Amino acid sequence: MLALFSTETFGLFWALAGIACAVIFSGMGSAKGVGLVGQASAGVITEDPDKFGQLLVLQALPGTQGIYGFLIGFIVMLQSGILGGSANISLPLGLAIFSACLPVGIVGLVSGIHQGKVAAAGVSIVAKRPDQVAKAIVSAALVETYAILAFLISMLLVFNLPF
Amino acid sequence: MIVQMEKLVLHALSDDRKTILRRLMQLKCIHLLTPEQMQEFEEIASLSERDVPSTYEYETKRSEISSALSVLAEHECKPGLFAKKEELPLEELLSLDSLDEGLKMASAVRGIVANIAEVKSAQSADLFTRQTLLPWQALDIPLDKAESRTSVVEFFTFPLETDLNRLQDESAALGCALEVVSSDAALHYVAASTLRSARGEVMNLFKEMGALPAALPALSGTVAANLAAIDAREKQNAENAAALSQSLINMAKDDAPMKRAYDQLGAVIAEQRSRQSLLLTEKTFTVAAWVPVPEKEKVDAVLRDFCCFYAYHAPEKNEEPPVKFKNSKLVEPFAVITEMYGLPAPNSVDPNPLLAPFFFLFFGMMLSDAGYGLLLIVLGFGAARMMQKKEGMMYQLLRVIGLCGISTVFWGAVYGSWFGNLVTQIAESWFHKTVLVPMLIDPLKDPMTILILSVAFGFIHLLTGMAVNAYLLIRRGRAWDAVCDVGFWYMVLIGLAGLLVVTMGGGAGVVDKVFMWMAILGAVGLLLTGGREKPSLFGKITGGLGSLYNITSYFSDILSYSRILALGLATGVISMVVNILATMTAPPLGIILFIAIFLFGHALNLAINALGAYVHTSRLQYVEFFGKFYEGGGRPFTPFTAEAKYHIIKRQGGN
Repeated sequence: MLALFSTETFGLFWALAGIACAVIFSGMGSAKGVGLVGQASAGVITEDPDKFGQLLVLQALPGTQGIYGFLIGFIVMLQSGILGGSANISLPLGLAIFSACLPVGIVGLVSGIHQGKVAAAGVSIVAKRPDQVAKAIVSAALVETYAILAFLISMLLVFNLPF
Repeated sequence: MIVQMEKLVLHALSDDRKTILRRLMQLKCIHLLTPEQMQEFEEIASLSERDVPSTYEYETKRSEISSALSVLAEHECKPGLFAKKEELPLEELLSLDSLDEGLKMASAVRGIVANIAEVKSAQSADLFTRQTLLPWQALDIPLDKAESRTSVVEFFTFPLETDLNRLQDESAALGCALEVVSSDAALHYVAASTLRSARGEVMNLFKEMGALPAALPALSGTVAANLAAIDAREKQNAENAAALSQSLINMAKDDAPMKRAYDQLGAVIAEQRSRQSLLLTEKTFTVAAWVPVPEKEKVDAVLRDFCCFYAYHAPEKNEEPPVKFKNSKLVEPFAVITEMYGLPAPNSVDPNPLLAPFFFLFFGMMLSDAGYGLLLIVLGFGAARMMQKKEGMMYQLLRVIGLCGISTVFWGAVYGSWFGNLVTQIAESWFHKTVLVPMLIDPLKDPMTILILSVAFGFIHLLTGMAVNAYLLIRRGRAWDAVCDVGFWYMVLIGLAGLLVVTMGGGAGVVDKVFMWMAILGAVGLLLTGGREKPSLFGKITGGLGSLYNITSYFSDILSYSRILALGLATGVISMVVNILATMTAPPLGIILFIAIFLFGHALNLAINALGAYVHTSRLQYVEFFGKFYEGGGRPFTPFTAEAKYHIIKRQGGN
């Protein structure tokens, strides 16, 4: 019992909470975003199945947030030794890991949903003017910028932690 | 560069009209204008009339053939991207020699389709009758002999919960004999033989018991006999339908005459439409078109053979000639990126020669894996080589992919990434050895270097865009605007950047002072000139402040290039994850798992990150780069020619 409440395990707890945040929230954002685009494109595909390829690209766009979150989670596991089973994380380090995971998680959640909305609106561009698909893709990519920035900060923070 | 255009105005004899237009069609280098766009339209219009060509007949025939072809398309396998198409010279397309055969085949297809529809409707009618008759199968009286002088046989359905014994007793008392023919999950099917005199009372009883009259089709003979006949017919119908669709499959195999006729009609329609651009007099015609200056000789060579008068005019101030790019082989494919954004105005600059190297560089840095780069080279150039038609968006896009693959290999080698850390990971997991792959920068250990590199390239990218803006301003005689809007910003940005570099490098003294004063001078310049177009003093002051405030937008533009690092890291780390998962199980069993995970994981990573690299490189061009100078609104150059869907048009002199 005593070992369970030592500072080491609290550190581990916060590190795991960080990984969970990074993966859960960004994954939720992407799932919601990809789902929105999928619903919108289903209507177009019933009319014109040949547009599936273009729509798939649009649908894939909001999926990157989930990947960024997963990457941060994985890097934390790798760097801290959780993956190898030899984690020794102090409480301050655990809290630092937790904080470093927040940007990618929270921004991933919000930007994933909004990117999904923009991409879903882009589906109607593909339906009416398939030659203009590049513009729909670029609009959606503008939203992704903020997910990328958050990912970058989380990444740099994790790399610079003293494991 | 944007090809210069001149306007050709041609007056020639009507007798030569067909030949001249066909020879110009061959050239594929003139962009026809409507008569209203001619300079002298007002004067000529009063002397001439417009040609009113009718394409209606051709278009009806083409839509007949096209609907037949779309029926047949369901019965043949779809041709791939690399399917060989037959080459045809333009004259053969315009000759319409396959038209009769094509139309005959199309009407044959229509006939078969009508037959199929007939068989299908017969089948569904039979199916319906069969469903109606099935419950009455056990009835042994012929349906057409169901009445006599004194009695009548009628058919009813009763709900399942009906008390049949009571029903039978009560109706027998009224003078009616019942027979329950069959029962299913919901209903009893009942035949009732009623005395005509008692019919009214019986009906009341039945209504009370919840009976509904069953409508049987007017048929002769017993139900069983009818069902047998339907089954026999159904067999025959199925055979017919199979035979009909087999004949469609056979027709689909040799539908060449129809495809030929389709393309021939398309060519003739294009030729007829061109006549809308003509002005006619009794003996002559007039036509105007944009001609790219380098192609003038070809046009001259054609027109020399005819008795005609023609002249070239340079575009007037208020005229906007169509836009066509002419670039070197390496830059040419990148025009698809610009075209996706929209063409530049004809009096602006061609962004492609500047876009190409940066696109190449940024794409490589974002994907940054030598293994993936090699795959892109093979896939991109390989597919482009296999395409028969060496033009069009798809072909150029494939070449862009191939070219960017080269840059990806380079940056992959710099980062030491060959399918991620594949070699190192195998050596470590399976052989417990440390193998180091040569690299210049380790992105995981040293991300700051790459961040600085990304931002530095971005800085150069932005300065290039601004330089183009300055060039445009100077070319239009607005040198002072170039100094104010670009020159001062150059001083501020380069000054600040220099100051940052020198301070970070730890050097102090003269150099950083130079940069500092450069930035300050630039800022003062902006402050003083930012509001130079505003009339009031107040406007001039706020304009200057507003102009200086733009520093935030430059700041965010430059930081936007940090995505190059982020996307590069994403590729590298996902590869690493794939490799770790793939090498988790030791060989020999591990080999199978390794192959499966390696193929799936890296295919997924390549797909996601190549898409990401393409999208975000495009964004950096469209938003950050084009934002500095681009003037859109150009119309594409659409040469007067015919397009073929099922053939390749062979032109004189190759191409």
